[in-house]
Amino acid sequence: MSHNKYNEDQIGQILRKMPQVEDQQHKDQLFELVSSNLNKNKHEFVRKKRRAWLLPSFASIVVVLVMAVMIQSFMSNSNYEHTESNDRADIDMNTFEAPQEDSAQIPPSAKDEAEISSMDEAETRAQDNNSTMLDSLKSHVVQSEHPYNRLIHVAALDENVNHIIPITLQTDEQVELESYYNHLDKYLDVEQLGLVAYPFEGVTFNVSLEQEKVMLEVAESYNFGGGGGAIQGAFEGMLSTMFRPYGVKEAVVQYAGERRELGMLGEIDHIDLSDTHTQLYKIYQNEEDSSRQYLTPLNTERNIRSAIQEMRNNEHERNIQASIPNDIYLTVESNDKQLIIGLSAEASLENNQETLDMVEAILMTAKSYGYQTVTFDIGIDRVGPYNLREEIPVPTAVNPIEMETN
Amino acid sequence: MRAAFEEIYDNYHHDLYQFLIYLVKDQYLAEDLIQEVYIKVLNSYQTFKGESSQKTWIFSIARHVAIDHFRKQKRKRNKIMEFFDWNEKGDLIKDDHAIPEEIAVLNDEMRIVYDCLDRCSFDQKSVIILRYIQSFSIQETADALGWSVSKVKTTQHRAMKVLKQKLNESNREEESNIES
Repeated sequence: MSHNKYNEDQIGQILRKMPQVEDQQHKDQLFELVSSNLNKNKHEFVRKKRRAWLLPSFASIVVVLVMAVMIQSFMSNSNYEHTESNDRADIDMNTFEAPQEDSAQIPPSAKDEAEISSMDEAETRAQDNNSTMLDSLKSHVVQSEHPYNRLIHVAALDENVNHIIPITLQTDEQVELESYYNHLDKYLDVEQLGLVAYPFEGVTFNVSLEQEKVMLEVAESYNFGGGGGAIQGAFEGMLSTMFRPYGVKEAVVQYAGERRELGMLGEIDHIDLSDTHTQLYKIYQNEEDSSRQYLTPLNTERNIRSAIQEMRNNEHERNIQASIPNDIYLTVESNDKQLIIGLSAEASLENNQETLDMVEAILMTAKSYGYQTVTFDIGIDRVGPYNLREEIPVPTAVNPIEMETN
Repeated sequence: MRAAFEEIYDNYHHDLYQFLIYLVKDQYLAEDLIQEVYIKVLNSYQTFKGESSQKTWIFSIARHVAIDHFRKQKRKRNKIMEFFDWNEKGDLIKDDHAIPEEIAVLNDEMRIVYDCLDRCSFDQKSVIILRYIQSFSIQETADALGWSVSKVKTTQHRAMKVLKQKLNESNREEESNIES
């Protein structure tokens, strides 16, 4: 008796034999249905628009009438003497003024519609840009949060446990934030990403965004996922990478059972996550699979100019690659919250993956130093999805991974 | 309008229909959804900027139409769950899916695989349909879904793992039923 009758090849063969199902609708019949629905949708839209005008107009007329009655009653009770014709004139004036007020109220609804349609356009543009990026060059950042997408910030470690790599899960599921962190293995297969296991198995997270705190309930059996000193040393940095983007400043540690030493961290009650280091971004590349590359932050005490120059250096022994080509010299200036990058020597850049990585690493580094936008005057107008003729806002998040829709 | 419809129909109808019918497994529903896809595509046909490929654009609309359908269905099911005593009456609810003729005649083995598809996530199912049933290449699947090639590979790998596990479980159950 075989317990594993099916292997993946056999399943593949069965799937390939699945029949092609014929659509029973005739092409012309389908066209008729589609076009009639298209027209219906248009008519419904026009009808809805008309109805949308009707209600405020009706409400305005009622308001005018009520006001007219109130004014009339006020006037009749006042000490002023009015002739009947004057009263009528007042009412008429109000009646004439009211439509002006009414018309003044109408544009906001038209404005709303224009806003909604421009939101739709922006969404379409964002989707188009996303598609363009996917079709050509691979972006390593999330430029802005899509209205239907939620960003879940997680942290992974490289194979040698040298670097904390921030990963951003993008999902359109709307569940409690904790659900992701407490069942992260369901959403994230770090080994597939060429990284090592997530060391929070046995920790239950409870996030309070109002209090800017995350509560960590540590199980009695918790052992840092079996990780040694390096993982224990990365614990605080990983928590910071995961929760700082939400504005969380403190991790409160609670112990299931007795309070005890938490590895090399000792007997701790809380971890301060408010300290932020300035970081420069280089590229981590998995040793075995060079396609697995991540923008990786490295803590630094340098100033921004020196940090940008440092980004030209490889650190092969740590599997870290320069994010700026070594033969490219950049000038760095700043203007309040804007960083201005120029090309200093006679060099040329092209619209390719290398330049896109450089631009995005600079954007993330600028973000870490508190800049809000970066202007690139580097001899090209466009790289990947970026129009370099315009100021580019710093990204929202880094190393995005689209989470599966269940 | 007719010209645009013809173009989309001739180039993508067969693929779109296969994709939807295997996703929703109901002939009438697939017909409704494909109509919705055409309506959405034709409504924004003039504004399509061509920054992604037409295929990616159309499949992305089909995918979202299907996701919307499943979301509505889930909401509806949740509402029903609140009022319905499943323990007593659950088995009175009939599976009223309009199964296409081609599927109704599947042999037992294929039928089990077909049923197990529902154990995959929506994304996994999408990839399996495109890669195996519609014989799209990895690149074509990535183009259709607007994903990276590596995401297609990862999702396919996970989907096959799920299918393998579910099929072997179902096989073991069947064997133990025969033995007893």
